[in-house]
Amino acid sequence: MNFFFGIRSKFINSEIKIPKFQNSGKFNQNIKVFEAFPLNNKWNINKTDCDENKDFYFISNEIENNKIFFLAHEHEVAQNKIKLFDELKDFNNFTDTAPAFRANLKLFLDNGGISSYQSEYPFEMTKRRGNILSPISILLNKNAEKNIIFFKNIFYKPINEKTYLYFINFQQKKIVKKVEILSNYLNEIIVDKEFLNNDIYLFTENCLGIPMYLSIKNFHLSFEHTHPPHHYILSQNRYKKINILKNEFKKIFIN
Amino acid sequence: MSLKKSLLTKVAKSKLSKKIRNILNIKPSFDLVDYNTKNISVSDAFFWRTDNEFETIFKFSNILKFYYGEKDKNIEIIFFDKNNKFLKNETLNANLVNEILIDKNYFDNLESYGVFYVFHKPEHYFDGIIRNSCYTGYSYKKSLPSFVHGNTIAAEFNYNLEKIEYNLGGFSLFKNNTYIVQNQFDNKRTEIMLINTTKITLNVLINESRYKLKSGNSIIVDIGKKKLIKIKSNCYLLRPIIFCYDNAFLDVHHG
Repeated sequence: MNFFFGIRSKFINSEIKIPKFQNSGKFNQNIKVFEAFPLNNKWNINKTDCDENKDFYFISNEIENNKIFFLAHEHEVAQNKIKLFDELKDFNNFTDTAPAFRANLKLFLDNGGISSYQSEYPFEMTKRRGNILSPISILLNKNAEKNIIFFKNIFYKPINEKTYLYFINFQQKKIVKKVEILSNYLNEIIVDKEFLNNDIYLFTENCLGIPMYLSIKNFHLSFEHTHPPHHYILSQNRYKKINILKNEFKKIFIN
Repeated sequence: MSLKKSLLTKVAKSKLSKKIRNILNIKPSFDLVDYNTKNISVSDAFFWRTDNEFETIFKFSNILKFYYGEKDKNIEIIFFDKNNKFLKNETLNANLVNEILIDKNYFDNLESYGVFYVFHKPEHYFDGIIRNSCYTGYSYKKSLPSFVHGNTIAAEFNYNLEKIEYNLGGFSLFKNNTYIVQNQFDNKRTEIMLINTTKITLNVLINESRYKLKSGNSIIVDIGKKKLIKIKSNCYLLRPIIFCYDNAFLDVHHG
């Protein structure tokens, strides 16, 4: 099962288009969109009242940085009233497809550009902790007026834990920036040009998630996410290889 | 992992097993890379375009250097035109993060489009398979490039055999696969770019129009103001790069 999310920022608007069909063409007109957010150690889950047509749900005004959205049947979750859950559940398998079931996450300016990607946050990822490792400069632009990293974590327990995201100069083995981030939240980090250095990597402490990169110039936008390291190593020894590298990064902030 | 499970995993990830699964349509594989081998550099199929005032920027990591600790070593990029005719290759002494500009001057004033592949050359045998699935940015009329990550495995350089094999996309001889892009297109005009990563000629149905696409060939199709994109073919992962035009603005993402 996949979750979806949007971005609320003073710099940009966002919209999510969640399809009612699988990419193989199988439709489910009975499936509804629900939203969830953590409050008082419970997941508050409610049916989302949003625009729709026969193919999609359109979510924009409903977006908050602590909210997530998912597709489910009413009997699986709730019937028009808020339900409280101790943890996120794998409510159904409608979004378990290969290729992955995705929603379009679009960013746009009132008087200008648009940029989007096909997004999802798999349920299995909400059950795990770990470290995200990703180069910073690869998707940002030195010539842009603004560069922003959005980091979204979804954790199955309804808590907003504080942890840290580091910018680490891998060649110098040195932390160059440390940012407090929250779990179950869409974190926004403005990136100064001094950090757009090919040796600088983003590394999170005990928090998985999706790093997304936005550049803005002359009202044009570029918005894309990076992949986790295991996307780049296909052999069966990949987790061993990646752990060795991640341990090198961990040593830098532990020391 | 038990010996039995480990053996089954090995068999399932072999090239022969993938071919059989694909023909029988049992848990089909999107690619025909043998994940049991090592010392292999795999590349996604990356699109370049220099037509209609486009420039392509390719940003990529030196994966061998980052994950395997190799020194600044050679990366080979091989370019083909839309008819799969070899255009040129370039060997770069790559840093951790690199960038190249592909404009019409790069191909002696060629205004067209096609595909390129990226291979990382190890200094010695390395015990893994790496995949370049990095980022192509498309700049329209010199605007901020809109970046998209690689999304389809297409070729491998097997350094044990010193041999490149192209067109490693999974296909079936007997079944037509439907792929509907999970996005609604409300912009002024949309183009999609497809590459046939398989070894067979594909008869592709895009909405109501038919196209013949030879192995390794690529195509740009204008789908006008259609709100949905439905692609039918024998390929298990014929996922397009999508160019959404809205006045002066451009949004590029993969399907």
